[in-house]
Amino acid sequence: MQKRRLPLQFRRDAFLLTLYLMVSGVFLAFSGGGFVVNFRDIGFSLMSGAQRGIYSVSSFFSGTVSAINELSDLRRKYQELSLRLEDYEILQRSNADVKAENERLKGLLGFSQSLSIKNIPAGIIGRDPNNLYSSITINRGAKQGIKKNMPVISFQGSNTGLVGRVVQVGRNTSLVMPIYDYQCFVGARLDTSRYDGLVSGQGNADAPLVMKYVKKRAKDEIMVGDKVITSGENNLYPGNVPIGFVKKIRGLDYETSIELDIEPVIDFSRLENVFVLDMSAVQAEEN
Amino acid sequence: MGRVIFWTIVTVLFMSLLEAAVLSNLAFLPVMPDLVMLVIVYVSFMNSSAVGSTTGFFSGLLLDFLSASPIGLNAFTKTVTGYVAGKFAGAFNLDKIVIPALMGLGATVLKALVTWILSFFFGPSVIAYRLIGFGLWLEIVANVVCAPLIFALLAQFPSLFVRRGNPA
Repeated sequence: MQKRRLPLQFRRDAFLLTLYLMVSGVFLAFSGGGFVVNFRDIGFSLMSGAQRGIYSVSSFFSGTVSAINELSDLRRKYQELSLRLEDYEILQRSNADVKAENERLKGLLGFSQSLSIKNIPAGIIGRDPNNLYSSITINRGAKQGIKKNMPVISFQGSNTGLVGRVVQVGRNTSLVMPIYDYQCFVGARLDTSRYDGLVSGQGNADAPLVMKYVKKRAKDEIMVGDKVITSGENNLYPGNVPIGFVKKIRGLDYETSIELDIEPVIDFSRLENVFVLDMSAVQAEEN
Repeated sequence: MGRVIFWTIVTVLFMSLLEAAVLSNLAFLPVMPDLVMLVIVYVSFMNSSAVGSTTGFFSGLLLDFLSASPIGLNAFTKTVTGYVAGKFAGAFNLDKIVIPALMGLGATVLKALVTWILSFFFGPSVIAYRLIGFGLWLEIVANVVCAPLIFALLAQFPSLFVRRGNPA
């Protein structure tokens, strides 16, 4: 009996393996095609909706835990204060927190209003679960007017910088490919010497960006610390948006171009809010 | 079999959302452990290749929807991982630390190998691990460390993750 079952068991295993690998292979092969993209859109909307839910729940719990901690802290302090009447210190601290938060929000609001291009503010709710890929999930989607390939920028401290572009749009969430991704390519220009090149990432937010195809004769005119901005060609990205600063200049004698290591303007490890730019008006004007 | 697959996919859904919405935002983690892969390895080892490849395929598909990777990539790698892990079902006794850690190591190496092979066939959209980079090695360490924890957690629920009457 046992001897009869084993070959059948093997055939079922092999059949399932072949079936699943074939389906996965078909998906992979056609992942740029219409059918699979639509299928992916549906799946992305469902999954990212759940992701958004999890994020909200985790935010709620972390907020609740913080609130409980804060409450017990306040209670302890109240008891101390009722004895010592030293409540001014806490009031000052609260005021400082509110003031700092207010300043940050005012900065973001001012930045949003100062942009000449229509923009959609969004918050980051997740990042890619696969270590080899580096997408960022934001909490705005087709419902808020986001479309595929829209550029994304951010404002940190007093700096504006390019974040990436939208690669996938769900109903209420979108997937952004950051500029440090392997597959992200941005037409760029050196702000002072005006030489063009192509900036791409190395798949890691901590690794510098690489600007390729810069003409070799530019070597003497480029200095470490020079600003790199978007060139604005093809209207994929708006022009003159800062990308980063030259960190290192590399060039070999037998090559016709040089490569530059670029330190991004944006610190991606503490990126919280972004602005998705709607370039349709700009593109319509130029057409 | 259906019950095990259902609960595995529910667990994988939770793990993948945990990775995407929580772990990925922790700046101090240089890489994320592949919790989904570890769940699949455990379930496959405790059941069979058929369960492993089925849970691997559907779990990978869920991950594909959350990631910028081409759709089908995670489904493919997780199917192979589940199938291979299932082939070891009942082959040896599962202890608390060494065997889970070794299985985490083996599964991560297998994933890197399958991804590398796929990158030949499907072009630059499939990114392969780089042997000289730290990414692969850090992920191996993360998975080796997390595997005993995940296995111990899942072992608390044998009625959900092991088929009735399964000798494993």
